Amino acid sequence: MNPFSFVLYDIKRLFGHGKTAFIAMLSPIPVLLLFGLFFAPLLLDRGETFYSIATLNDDNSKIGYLMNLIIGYENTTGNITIYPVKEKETGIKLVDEGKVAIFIYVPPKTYFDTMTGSKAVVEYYYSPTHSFDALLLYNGLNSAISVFGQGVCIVNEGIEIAQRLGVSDEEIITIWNAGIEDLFEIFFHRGRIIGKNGMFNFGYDYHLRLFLALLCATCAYLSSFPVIYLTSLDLSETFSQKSIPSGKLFGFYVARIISGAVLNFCSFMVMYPVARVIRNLKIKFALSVIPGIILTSLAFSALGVLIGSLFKRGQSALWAGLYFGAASVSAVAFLSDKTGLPKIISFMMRISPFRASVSIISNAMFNFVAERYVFDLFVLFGSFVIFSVVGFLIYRKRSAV
Amino acid sequence: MNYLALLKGRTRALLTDFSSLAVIIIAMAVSIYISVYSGVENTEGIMIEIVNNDTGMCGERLAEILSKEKDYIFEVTTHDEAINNLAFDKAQGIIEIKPDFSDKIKAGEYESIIKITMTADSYKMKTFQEIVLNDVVKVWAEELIKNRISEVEGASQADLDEFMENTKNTWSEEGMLSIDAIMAKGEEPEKEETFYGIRWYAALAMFYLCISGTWMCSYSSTGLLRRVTGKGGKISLLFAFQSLPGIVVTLLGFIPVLISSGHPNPLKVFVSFMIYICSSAAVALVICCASGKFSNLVLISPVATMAVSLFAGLLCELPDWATVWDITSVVVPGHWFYNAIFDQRFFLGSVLVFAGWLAIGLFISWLFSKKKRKE
Repeated sequence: MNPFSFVLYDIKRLFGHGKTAFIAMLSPIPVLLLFGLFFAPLLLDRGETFYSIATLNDDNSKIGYLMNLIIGYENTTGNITIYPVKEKETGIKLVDEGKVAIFIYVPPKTYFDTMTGSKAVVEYYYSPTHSFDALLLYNGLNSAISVFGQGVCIVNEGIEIAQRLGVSDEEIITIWNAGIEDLFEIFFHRGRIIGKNGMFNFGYDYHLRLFLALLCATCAYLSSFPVIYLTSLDLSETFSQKSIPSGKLFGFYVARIISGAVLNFCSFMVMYPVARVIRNLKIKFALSVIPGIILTSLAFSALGVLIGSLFKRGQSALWAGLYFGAASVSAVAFLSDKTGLPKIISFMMRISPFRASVSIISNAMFNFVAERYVFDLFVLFGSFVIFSVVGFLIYRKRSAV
Repeated sequence: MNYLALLKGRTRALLTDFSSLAVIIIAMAVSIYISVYSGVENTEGIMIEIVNNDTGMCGERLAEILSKEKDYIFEVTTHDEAINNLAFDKAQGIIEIKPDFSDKIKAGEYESIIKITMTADSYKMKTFQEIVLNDVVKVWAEELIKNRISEVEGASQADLDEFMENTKNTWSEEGMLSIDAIMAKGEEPEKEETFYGIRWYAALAMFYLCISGTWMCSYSSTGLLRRVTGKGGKISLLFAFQSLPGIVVTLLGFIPVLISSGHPNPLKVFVSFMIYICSSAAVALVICCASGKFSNLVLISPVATMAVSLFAGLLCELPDWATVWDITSVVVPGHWFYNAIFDQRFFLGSVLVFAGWLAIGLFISWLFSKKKRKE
């Protein structure tokens, strides 16, 4: 039997083993759809206008000017569509009826209160159907406005010192006005600090991308379960009864890893169209992560064969696979941003093929850092080699060579 | 048919099957951990590298202000070290302060004075860029006013020092202007307690019932269902006696979780959990029947449990827009358990849902056993 026939034969066995392989390959679809449904309003708005906002400025001062400028700039970029209203009730009604996502209301005397040391509050109404994305914009807006408010306090601190130094009232007003003007200036163009335009960087959905990457990697790992089960079954039944030459056994072993990788890869391929629908993932992204996906498929398949070789009973092997998977997923989801972990856990996290796979997918979707990408590929390749070598030693020992 | 013998056999099998028993033990540990520690603030943070190439002093001031931000740990380092740490997953972001940072800030400029590189390794990264921009604005504003003060005749270094001292407090205090977010159609009152410990335990308990329900899978000649129906036994009684040990185990596990959650009405929650777990056993019957064998069950169980629990709002709160979800989720047991936790009506709904799922489960089980008998 030539090597290709080995692989073909094993793929036939894997896919012919009941409906397990197909369930493994197709199970990501409901998971991803559920995920898409959960974030539907945010995801559906993607690519079109990001927010529709009704505005009412009852304070014809610079605070209103600031609000208009923030939103106005984003309006020109197509991120926002503005609907000015004449009454507060109309704005709230538009939000209630779902005709706009947000209504921003600047009450009278907001500017005067802020500048005279009284606390002023701008009202931000949002629709429950857009609460997720509306609150993202709110967080950015609130953060910037709060610092602006603190900036006003800083100007006032300076003014107090100037007054104590005997500066004339006329000069004080000039200094104060210039300070406030400068504050407005930098807030209008905050993005320029990092070489971009505007105030905000819309699309703060790293968490969605991380979720999506986590789900993809989890589903790909789950699809290696048939490999675990069949390997354990082979070793406890077929190979333990027949004497197989070492070379042929190696052929079976390599064929199993390759057929498992094909199953994992197919699972990724099935996920891509679904992910594309819910997150509008570009084909360019898919191509950039292909080396990572191939290595992930190989590493997960080799891991599946290793786990399958370790246990005499297929069920025990599946339990082990389930616990290992649950621990890996939990670690990436809950521990990856922790800094105070014991060294051994930090190290295990760093060399985890699961983390590397999630990192490749999520970072390629967001910010391609070449050094990280190479490191993650190296981790996946290293895992593949280690799992394959250790797996073969156990595989060989368990079979009656 | 000796159903008591079946009950004894099942209890023995369940208590000696450590693989599945570990699921419920882990579920208890996780849930108690969530209940006890959910209110404790996490003081650890994401590691961010600062590469300070600034030739002046403003870069240092920026690093100082950044170091006070919660959720992040900032470390000043070299460019190569920062890249290495980012590549080897020791850090999640780099802030590169440009060499002309101080010069530009002192001149009142701010164009491209820092460079931010970040990875998508954490949920918390979404606010990172905002924080950095705001902190740069703080340094810029300080320098601006310092310049203005120093231009005043008679201003001394002491005045500047006094100003810098005062600004330290200002940045940590509330500003003069803020925005209030108000949800239209009336702000929903925030839940004081989320009871995630109880809710996650409920989701994991359903998973346990599914994964330990291999006896419901097999219809082969040696399969229990096949043998019992072959001897004229009733599937409903078989299900009742075989499910009971699993239900009792999950109920026993629920007691410490409930105590640690500090729920004000534990009796009501316990009763609702009893009905919920019986319904979950019926759901497990459907899932196990559809799976057919353990290798399928191990794939279908996590997906199905996650879907049902998410749909019911047990794993996390349903999004505010999902009114349609809230209405349709009445068919899943978790919806009524969720209602009971948050002191809403549950009894009639949960009993009806239990009856419905039991009927579906028994029907499917009967259908499968009949089909297999024909084969």
